[in-house]
Amino acid sequence: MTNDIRTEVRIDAGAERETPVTDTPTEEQLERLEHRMAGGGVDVKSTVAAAAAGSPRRGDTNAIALSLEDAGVWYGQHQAVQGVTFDIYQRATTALIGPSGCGKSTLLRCFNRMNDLIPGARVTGKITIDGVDIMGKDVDAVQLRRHVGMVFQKPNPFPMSIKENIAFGPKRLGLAKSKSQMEEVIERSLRDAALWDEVKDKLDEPGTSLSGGQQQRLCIARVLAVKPDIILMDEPCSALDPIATLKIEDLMRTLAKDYTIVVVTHNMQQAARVSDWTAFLLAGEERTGRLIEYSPTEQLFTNPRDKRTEDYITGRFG
Amino acid sequence: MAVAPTTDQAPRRSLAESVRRRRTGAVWEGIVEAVIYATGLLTILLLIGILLLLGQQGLRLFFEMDYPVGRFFTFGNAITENTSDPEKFRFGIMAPLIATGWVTLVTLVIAVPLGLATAVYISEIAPPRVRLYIKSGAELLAGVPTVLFGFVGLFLLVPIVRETFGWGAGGMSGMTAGIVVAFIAVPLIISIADDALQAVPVDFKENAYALGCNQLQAIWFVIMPAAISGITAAVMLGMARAIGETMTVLILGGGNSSIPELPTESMRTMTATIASGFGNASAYSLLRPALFMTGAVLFLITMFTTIIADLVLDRQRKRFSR
Repeated sequence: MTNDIRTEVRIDAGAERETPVTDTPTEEQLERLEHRMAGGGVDVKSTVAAAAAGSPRRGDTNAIALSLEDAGVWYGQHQAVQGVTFDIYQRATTALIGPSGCGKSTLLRCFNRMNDLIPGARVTGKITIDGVDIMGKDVDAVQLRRHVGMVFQKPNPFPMSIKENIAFGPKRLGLAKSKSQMEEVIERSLRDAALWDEVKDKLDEPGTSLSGGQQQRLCIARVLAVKPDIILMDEPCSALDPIATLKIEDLMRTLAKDYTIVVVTHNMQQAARVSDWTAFLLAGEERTGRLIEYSPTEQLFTNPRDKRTEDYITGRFG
Repeated sequence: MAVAPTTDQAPRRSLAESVRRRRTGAVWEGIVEAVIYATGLLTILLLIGILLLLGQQGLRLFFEMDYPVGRFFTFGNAITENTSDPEKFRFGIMAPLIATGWVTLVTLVIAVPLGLATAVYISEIAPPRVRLYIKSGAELLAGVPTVLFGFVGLFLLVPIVRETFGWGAGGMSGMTAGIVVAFIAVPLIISIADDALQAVPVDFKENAYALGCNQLQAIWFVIMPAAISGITAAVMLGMARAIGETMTVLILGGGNSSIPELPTESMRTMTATIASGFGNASAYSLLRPALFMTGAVLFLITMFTTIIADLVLDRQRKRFSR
């Protein structure tokens, strides 16, 4: 009986799926999107000004979420990142920008020790979260990743239902004691990821049945379900269309009220729109990335301190 | 700047003219396509041919030689006697069928956990050098003729079984055969399951780790489910191997033609029955069609196993499609 209903639901959804599903923007989002498209190659400076008018920049310089001291990354004999020192502030969005190969993703992957998975990768220097040196011998990477969540470039739901995707983390970590508690976690995570209204009637469908943008929000919800302190995002919109990108960006602004977000992006406009602080990295000919400038986003894009930052944001290279 | 046309260039034609002339090589392409199509068709014809031959030769048992159908399917012994008298012929398929079942069961119980565990180990856990050694070892093992496994089993395993457990006929039993067939199936399972695990996108693993999984959780809850169709295929092929293996079970099974109630008894599987009986089956005996009929049943079993496996895989593919 139950089975029949489920099959029916699945068939219905399957019929819907025939036409390519994309995210439906709200009127207001559509307007902004049109404005953005019409602007074409608007310069970053006006974007950053507009974004600042929309929401004040965040980031209390007294509340440090993550602190880097002379951090470097080696892949075997090659040094990918060298001598990076700066602080990332709590409940703010920090963007890491720079041309391809500048080591921004590599650096991001240090924050939850994803580089541990790469044979031959070695991180030097000191990275501190909450006063704990995360590279320390006594720190278990599995433990660390419960506090530092990550969203990847390509939306990647597990081969299971929407519900099971969200429940995955909490189940492994034993975060929900009962079934009703788990339901609560699922609903809260999906609501926080601005996905609940779109999927509440089809929680048992495969996560892969959603559109690309929805899948990415599902992945964000999956991270939120584990209740991390810091969320790392590695080019979260690079595989998405403009509407889906807009939705994720809006979500990032909302989430920054409660979470510390670090986002890697190759899109300067995006950095200007969503971040409070921006770090600009650049690699020389030896392909070793270095931090060139770290400033409040508005300052970095309107009044950069370094000549190389200026060259990059005005599109002279990269 | 205008470039003067060089003489080695072909003259420029209009599209209409090109269409009229047809592409050079179109004929050649057509021939290649036809050959490929024919080879594809051949596999299907072969399949139908085998079934027709087995059926036509086997059904003679019932229609020309008046052997009762019920007796063939229920009689609890399979005596490969070369006789043309339906009254004296005592051959039923139950015993070889159950023997095949026992050997397959023993094989799977040993080979599936061992093969899958090894595949997971070399794919996800082992350092590259160890992975290389085990993988090459498995590939070499997969190439060893099975008759040699039979020999090795006869000289290494049978004495131990005889002295320690006293199973079957002097150590030769379904269990003995199953254990050795397991080692024939293991390299196959390792190889296919490893390929399936290696094909799991790296983002699955990264996502699992990023959500706070430890290695075993990532393997069990994410990597293995993602590779499930390949893993199922590995198990099914291992099973097909066990059902179809002939030499090893002939050497090590013990050869008893009656229904084995336990895997530890001496027994003769369907394949072993066919292989051992065919030599002394004369053209006019009942044995010949009976063995063909056994072959037909064997063929149908393997065919249904494959079809069921395909259906299972198809369902999983639909469910987990990306």
